[in-house]
Amino acid sequence: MRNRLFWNCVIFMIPIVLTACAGGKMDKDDLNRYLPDEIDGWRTTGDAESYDRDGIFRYINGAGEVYRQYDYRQLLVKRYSGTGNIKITAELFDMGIPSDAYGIFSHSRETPDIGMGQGSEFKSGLLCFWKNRYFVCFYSKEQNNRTDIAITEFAAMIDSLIPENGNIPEIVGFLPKSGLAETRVRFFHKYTSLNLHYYLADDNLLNLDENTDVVLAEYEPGKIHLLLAGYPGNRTALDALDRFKSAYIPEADESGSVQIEDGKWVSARIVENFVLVVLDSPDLEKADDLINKTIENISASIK
Amino acid sequence: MSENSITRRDFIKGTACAGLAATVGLPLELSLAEEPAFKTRVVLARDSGVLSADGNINSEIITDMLDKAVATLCGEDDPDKAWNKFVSPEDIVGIKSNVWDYLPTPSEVEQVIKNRVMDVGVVESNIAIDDRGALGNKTFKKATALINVRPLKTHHWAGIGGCIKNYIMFVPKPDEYHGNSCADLGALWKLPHIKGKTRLNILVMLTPLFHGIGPHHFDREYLWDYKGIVVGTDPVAVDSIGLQILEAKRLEDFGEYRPMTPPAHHVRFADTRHGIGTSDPEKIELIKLGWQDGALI
Repeated sequence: MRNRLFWNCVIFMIPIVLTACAGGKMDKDDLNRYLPDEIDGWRTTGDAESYDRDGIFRYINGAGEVYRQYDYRQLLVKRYSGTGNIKITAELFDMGIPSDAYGIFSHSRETPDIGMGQGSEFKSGLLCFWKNRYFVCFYSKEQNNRTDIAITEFAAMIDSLIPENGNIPEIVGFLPKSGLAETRVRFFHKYTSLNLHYYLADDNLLNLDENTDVVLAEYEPGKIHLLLAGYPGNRTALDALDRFKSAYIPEADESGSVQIEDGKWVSARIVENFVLVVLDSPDLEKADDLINKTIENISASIK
Repeated sequence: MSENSITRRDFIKGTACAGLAATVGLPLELSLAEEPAFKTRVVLARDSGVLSADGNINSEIITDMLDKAVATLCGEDDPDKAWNKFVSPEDIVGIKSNVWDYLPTPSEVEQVIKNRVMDVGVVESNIAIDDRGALGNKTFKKATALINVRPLKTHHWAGIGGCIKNYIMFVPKPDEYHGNSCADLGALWKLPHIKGKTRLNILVMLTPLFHGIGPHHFDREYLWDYKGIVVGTDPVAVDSIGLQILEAKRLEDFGEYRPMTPPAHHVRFADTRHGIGTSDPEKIELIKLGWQDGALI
């Protein structure tokens, strides 16, 4: 009986294992296709490097943890040499799903978009963009005008090789546009990521984890922060709101708004399976306005 | 919520030490509290001539800076006597360095330390300099004394890469210490093969990195010629001073307060949770030597 059960399990597992292996191979093939060994006069030098989820630390040390907060799968690194002996390093991160490619791009974004991929920036010789489930970066150690031009052209070629766009996380679309600092919108899942951008507490006051989609945005004037967290259901959202209120703003009444010690306002509310928290608002009206507009956007999408 | 949990509001209210506000990304506004009975001594030594125009390190000047810092740290006039207070001829010495590509511990600094350790009487075969291989290094395994030396930089996941974090290579799986933005790096210092062995912590601030971009968290634009070193026996106090300088530089350069992301809360936890040193700036006696322009502290 036990033997039969064992063999049934083995037979059941075979297609799953084969599918997983094929998936992994397909992912690697995709990465190589999007970073080919030769393209328009550019040719790779040295061996390509590949780092999986556990191996990323070997390439970027502890910074790899930032990527592991998302659905990061694989990194392919290739070094190219082209016209005029310009050398470019290309790093292609497979983030598993488009929303997480957007998330890692949003993590450290500082400057306005340069129109590449689905979102991009170019600063101090480092060009990065996200497209579909990929986050791609290019740089040259010898940074000058020539390398900047070459990087821009090279990145555009790689952009064109990645065929389809992916979806921006839906929750980002709920942010009110007025006053939004576009380069300070961060998308993530876990409280460790929240604390990278806005330290709320040592503990996970909002019960954030890999099942939550979270966007933290900054609004001008006044650097007001809006945190919007989407939970798997209304019950988990309610639990999170209760925990946040009891731990962070225990004096809040049913309105969920409190003026705290620095004179700023904190407001927390719930709509459907979303928890909304406004932080650092100079007055209650601005906090309410931001929350109400966000609720309108959420409600409109549900209808 | 756990009993010892601290929220942002605790820092705003001042119920958590105001001097540590920077470790959670709040502007540093020191309160004028009562003088504590005992202060941890940290020495900042700077010299405007330590770097040439093309960035090379002047070996004589860096030697002088280090000698003066070590002497001041232990209240000695004579650097030779001072070094003897930290290392003895019988010691086996591991110099824990840092090889990060973009900003490694300068070989000139490593060499000065090695020379001074040899001047004390330690034979060369009993001295090793290592970073990534330190855990398996035969000399490090037998080490009776450690000297911890690395450049200061902002860090993608830990807030800053300083003296506390430099010991992460002393464990086989560094990622086990990555939880909550490296909150518990201080625990490394209590491991049996580490505990009590560190004689000196030297934060190299010749060209610190005060901000980073991209996967490698580096941009030359955010290096500046600070031309200093911070020296102490307490890694937490040394990092706390370094952190304040980085915060001040960010304020100066960005023209607004921009919190470090992530906040370097491991510095505070190394003190409050792990008890390996002093992070509260009010409890640190900072002695500044040499060049004072742009000290930022």
